[in-house]
Amino acid sequence: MRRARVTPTVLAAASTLGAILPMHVLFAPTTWARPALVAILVVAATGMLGRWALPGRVLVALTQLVCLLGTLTLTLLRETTWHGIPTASTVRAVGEAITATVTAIQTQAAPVAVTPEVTLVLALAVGVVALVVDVVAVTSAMPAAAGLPLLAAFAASSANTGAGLGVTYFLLPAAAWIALLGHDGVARLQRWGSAVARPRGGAPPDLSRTLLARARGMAVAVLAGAVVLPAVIPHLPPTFLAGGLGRADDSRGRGEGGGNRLVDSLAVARSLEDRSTDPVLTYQTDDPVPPPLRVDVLLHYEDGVWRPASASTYDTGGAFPASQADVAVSRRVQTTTIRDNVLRGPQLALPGTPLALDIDPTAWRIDANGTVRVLDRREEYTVRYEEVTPTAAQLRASDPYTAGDAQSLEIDQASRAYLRDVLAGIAPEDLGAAETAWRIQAFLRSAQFTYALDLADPVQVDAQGREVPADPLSQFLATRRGYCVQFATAMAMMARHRGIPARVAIGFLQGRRDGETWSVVAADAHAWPELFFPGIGWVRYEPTPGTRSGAAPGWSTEQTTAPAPTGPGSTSSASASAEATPDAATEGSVATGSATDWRSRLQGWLGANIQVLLGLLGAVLALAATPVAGLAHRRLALRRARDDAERVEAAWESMLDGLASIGVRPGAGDTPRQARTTLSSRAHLDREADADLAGVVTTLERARYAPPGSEVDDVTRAARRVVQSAVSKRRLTARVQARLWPVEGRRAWQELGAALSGRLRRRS
Amino acid sequence: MEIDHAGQARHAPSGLSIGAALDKVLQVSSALAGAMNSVLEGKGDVVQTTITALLAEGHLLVEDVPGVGKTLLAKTLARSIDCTVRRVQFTPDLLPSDITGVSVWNQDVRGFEFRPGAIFANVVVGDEINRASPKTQSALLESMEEAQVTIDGTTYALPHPFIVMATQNPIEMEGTYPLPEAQRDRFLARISMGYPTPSAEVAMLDSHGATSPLDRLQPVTDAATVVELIDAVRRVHASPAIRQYLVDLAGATRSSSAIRLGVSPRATLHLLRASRAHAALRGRDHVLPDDVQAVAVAVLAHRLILSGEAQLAHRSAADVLTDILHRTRVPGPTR
Repeated sequence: MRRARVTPTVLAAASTLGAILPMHVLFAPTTWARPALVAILVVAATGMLGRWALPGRVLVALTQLVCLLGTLTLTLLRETTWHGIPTASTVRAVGEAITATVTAIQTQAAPVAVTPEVTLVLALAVGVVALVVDVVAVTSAMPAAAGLPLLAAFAASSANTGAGLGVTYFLLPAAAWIALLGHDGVARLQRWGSAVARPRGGAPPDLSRTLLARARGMAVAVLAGAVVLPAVIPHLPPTFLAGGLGRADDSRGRGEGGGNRLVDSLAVARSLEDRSTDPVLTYQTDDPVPPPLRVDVLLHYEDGVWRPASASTYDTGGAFPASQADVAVSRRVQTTTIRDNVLRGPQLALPGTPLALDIDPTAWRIDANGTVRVLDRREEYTVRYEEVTPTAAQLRASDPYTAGDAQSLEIDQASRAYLRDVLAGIAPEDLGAAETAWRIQAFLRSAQFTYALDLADPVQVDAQGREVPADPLSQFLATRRGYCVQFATAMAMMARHRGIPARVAIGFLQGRRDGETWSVVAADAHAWPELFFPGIGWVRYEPTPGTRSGAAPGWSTEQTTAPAPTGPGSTSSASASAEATPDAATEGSVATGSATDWRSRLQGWLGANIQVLLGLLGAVLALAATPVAGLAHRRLALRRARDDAERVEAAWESMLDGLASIGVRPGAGDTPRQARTTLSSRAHLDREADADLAGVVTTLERARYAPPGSEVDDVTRAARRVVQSAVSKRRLTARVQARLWPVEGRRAWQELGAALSGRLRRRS
Repeated sequence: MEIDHAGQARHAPSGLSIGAALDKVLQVSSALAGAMNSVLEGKGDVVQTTITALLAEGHLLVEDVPGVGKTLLAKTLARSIDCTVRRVQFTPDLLPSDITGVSVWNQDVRGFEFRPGAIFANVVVGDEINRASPKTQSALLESMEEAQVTIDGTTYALPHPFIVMATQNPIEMEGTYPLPEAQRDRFLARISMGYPTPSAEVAMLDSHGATSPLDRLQPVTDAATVVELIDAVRRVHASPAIRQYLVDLAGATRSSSAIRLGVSPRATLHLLRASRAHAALRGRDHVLPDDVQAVAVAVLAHRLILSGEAQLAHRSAADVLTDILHRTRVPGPTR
């Protein structure tokens, strides 16, 4: 097991695992972790086995690669294979997965949503890193060089998380790698053997132990230094560098009293870019699907910027206005307790439509839009709220066209013409309000739009060919690139254009769940449109694509009458194929199920697996071809021999070939006697085999060089015994190779090829 | 191969069976080697090569620094065999007629009478052969090759067996006429004595201190027996595979990039003879490739001229030959 190098393999796998650990911040949920872990384990296990059994580093690495790819194919791409054998569609699937992953990484803000494609690519990448580390550190015994791939993997995952990572993330891979280095160093030290004399009494310390202790101390010191130094030396926060000077202070607002404040002017992008993992607030709720937390409502849009509504504030004395929804509309009433709130007053984050708030009634006010203001920050509060869940029919029955006031129908004049053009392509003028809203949302969520925090240059070319600044909304609709604010604005403006009252709410997404507690960070800031339907109230829509914003609310996607935007043709063909598949499956199962006779069942099994069986048969034949050819070659040579001397020659040639199959060859200019000495020592022959070999050589000399008429024995058996004895002394792999790929067989093929080509040449 | 066939045809096989003849070879050669080894301390391989050359009907060139026993080797061989021995000390003023002999006017018979030169002996020891002028050298070498001397139109056959053991000193260059490569080719083998091992040198001080053991040396065989042995060696079988191997080796020396001048066909013939003798000395009636390899360096090395590159790389002819032996495949049976 020494050759397998178990300890370095485990350490290499551990350092790979540590290096890719930061990736769990980048990709959520962590369903990708299991295949990645399997990939690391496969690489480690095949590495150990390969080093133990196979000669040559390249062969070991190739085996590892094949096993890694095979495992990933069988676990993640099974449906693209043919009986477990990769096909062209497997390769295509991998290519598509890579493209999809690259697109997802480029378009989505961290964490990227984990799809099967992303899982495949991550597992593949992790496996490749593990393979490189294993090959360099263990197979090639260069653990220092393995630091490079480890560093690359660690840097790639940690640099993209944006914020500083915890110390543990660094300590884990670094410690594993240093342990790997240390193990290698100790192994090298021990290989020096007894070159250094060891004192008997133990009075002076053992040299190797001193060296070891010093090395251990140095490793610990280096690790400690690597952790402590960055903490001591002042450095710029990552956000500071990424977001430009001074921005960091804005988004977190830590400069003033430790509070957090969502900026009113909707610079949500700054909050979205904030990589802080400190929660803005945490909450516990009995709601299984908590709605976003609303902080403010914006109605007034001017020069491409939403302004806070200048609504009058009412003191309701701790009560909320009555719900605007009809009794028929279903609703959920839930309670949420918010803790550790750092959002500064007067803003307060509240989910759904609040019904009751456990804050001192004198400390908060509510304005005309239902936005709650507090006097100062509340660290902890509980809110009971309702969320209406209207059905599609109820939405369709409602008529919002007459319900709007001037403020909720105000349209941005700069983009009015562009909006009209875009809308004309989405929904006809006479469509119902609910359908129009669905279509707008579906349009914005479609693949034509890209979620990105960086917007395209705000320019457009006018009639004179000059570049003039475009208004933000037209520019968004033209470039189809933006984040939640642009999407929400676009939907609100389109709805207003059609006469549906609309507003934009800003606040936070529901955040990340950790057990019972949800925590919301600055990057969870979000903006979404709300449309007013009389008898239901303000209805939330979700036009922003991407995983952070989540799926659109159920009521906003129900479509019963409107045709799918993809067109009827593709839908029908998709449904046709969906119908055809179960039918075929049923037929097949009926056929096998009705066959009760074992013979017909066997025939069925044979029919189903005939290709596999043929493949197996072909493999067996291919494996047996060379040994059989070798055997035939030997027999033929013996039969063709005209006299005893030629038989001896044939036996000698066959013996040389048999020994060459295990890599034992005489020197180029060796006489038979010298060949005997060389072969006997190289093949480690025992006494009997050596005597056999001596007999063969003596007979060969007599056959070749003695005067004609000399008596020559039959040495065929002795020659075979020599070969068998030599082969039996070899390792299993060499024995298998000698049996399956004998030199004699290869020679037979060569001679056959030469004879065929010679015949062809003669004929032509 | 033709050469070999011709060679075998020239000598009728003796009455003894090949087995009995080889037994005699073993017996006589071991006696000869024992006698020579008693004089030459620790020079077993040199003695072996000398006997091989004797049985292969070849001449021997002993080349080494002064005082290591070149002349002693030649004298020991001559003394061990009961035969005629002549020693010629080569000097610049030595004349060809001193070697071959001269016709002088005999008053009594009123005619020219042939006075044989130093060459008319079974063993001729040519001491410091490179001190004589080229003219004298060529007189010796001519008779070596043809085993006969022609003077004034009369051809005189040299005695049988006939072996020339010439010594030369590679260091002493002053006043010498080094043998050209074409003339070195006439020698079957060249050997170097080399310094004795320390223990052999101590034993030599002991044995040679008072009287020379050479004086006590008694002949262990005679010329007629040596002729029988030579006949037995000629009957050693060289299979077609061996002949092919000899030709392959010769071809390899001619095509090697490290060698400017490869070996001649005469060298191939010499190699075959030496290989036969080597096989016979081991009691075998056939030549093995191992016999060829054993004598190849002694037989071939002195005939090679290395290329400039090989000389600059300080490679000796023996190194190059060993390399060629390692690389040249030993042929299987020729069908």
